[in-house]
Amino acid sequence: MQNEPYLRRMGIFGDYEQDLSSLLNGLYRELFELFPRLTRALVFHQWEWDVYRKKVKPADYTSHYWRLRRKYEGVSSKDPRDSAPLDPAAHVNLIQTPAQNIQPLIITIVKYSVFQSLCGLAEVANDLQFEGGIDSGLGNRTSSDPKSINLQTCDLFGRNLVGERVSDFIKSATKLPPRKSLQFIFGGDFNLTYLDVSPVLNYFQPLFTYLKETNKRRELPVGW
Amino acid sequence: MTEEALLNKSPTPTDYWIQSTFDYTASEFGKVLDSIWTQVAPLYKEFHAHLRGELRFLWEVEGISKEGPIPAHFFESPQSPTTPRGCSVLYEATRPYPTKHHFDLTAELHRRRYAPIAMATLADDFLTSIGFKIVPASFWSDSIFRKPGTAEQEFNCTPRMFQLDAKNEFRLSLCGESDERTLVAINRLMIKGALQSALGNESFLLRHYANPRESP
Repeated sequence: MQNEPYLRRMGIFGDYEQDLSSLLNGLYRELFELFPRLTRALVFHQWEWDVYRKKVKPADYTSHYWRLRRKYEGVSSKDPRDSAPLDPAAHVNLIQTPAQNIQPLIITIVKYSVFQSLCGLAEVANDLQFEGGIDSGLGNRTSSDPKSINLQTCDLFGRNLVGERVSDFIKSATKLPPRKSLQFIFGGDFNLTYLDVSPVLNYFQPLFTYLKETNKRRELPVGW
Repeated sequence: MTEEALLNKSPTPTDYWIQSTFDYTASEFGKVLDSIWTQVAPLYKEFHAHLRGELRFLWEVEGISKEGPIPAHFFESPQSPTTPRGCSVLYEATRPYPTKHHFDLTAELHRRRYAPIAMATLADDFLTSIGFKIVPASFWSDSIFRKPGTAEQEFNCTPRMFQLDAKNEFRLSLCGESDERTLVAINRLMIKGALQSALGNESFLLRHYANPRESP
């Protein structure tokens, strides 16, 4: 994730002109980091759970793994792997941290939603400052529409409220399950699931629109 | 882990871990994951379609079918199966606007010879501006930001944060360069240090790091 105001403060982004094509290239580059974490985590989690639940026989371990990879990643093996050795064992994570391989997915999604909610806080604080300041006409909004928050341009610098929320969260996080402690970040009225994907999708919206259009234009089939 | 799960009367380690960490049952959690997947899948499928199209064009082989899954060996390296093969190589070859670049942070930092310690200073400015404690002077004098010694001397370059006590005392140790990786590592560790210090008044048992993936 690149945050422009922060880079400006570093004195870096100032003379750089971000146009749509470099923005899309940048987002595309970030997808390479995002997707292995999400899809791989789903494959590992599902495979492991099925193994623990004894839903698959030991003889089918490898083929079940490739079935899941095909389902979630759209990736196939070069050769048929039916009687092959245990392929999933090649993954270090699967061996070292049993039962916890869904973590990358959770962390990634929560990262975006936490950032979005903090940006929302910062915007509200911004509006309040306007209300008390010279131009009180601008400060009509009391809460921001999450869709309008741009994670690339949101500036958290000097927002005390953000710091307070984060330290409240971190103090409760060691005592409560994340579902409860994350309420300190998302606000009190938060009682749905915290695994909300929409911040991720919002962030990649420009690229999604672009890919959808070009894939259609180039008649590239979607799916597998 | 399996034993721990059985002793806690959970059918599988996965159930046990999910129950104890997220306060969900495994089947509820499965539904959450399903809904995540259905929401994310459209984006992934467009990405996948674009990548497949570009790879077919690039390799000019019959190995990649037009609408089937991508063979795994085009996608990942055998050395590290968890990251796609040379992520940056794939990016360079298939990016949407081949004549244009993205905003290259590493190049910019390198061009300006941005010192790792300056990155840490700004991170500290940010953290104090939102209300965290300012780091003591000893942090700046005793942390290691660049690889010490001569080039031949061995040094553990893994970026690390050491917490010295329950107060605001911590040190960084990393072999910083003027690049994006250093910037990310420094910011991550500074935040980690600040959060860890925010827990200073809690009792020892409650001072572990909230994110289990990050535990020291």
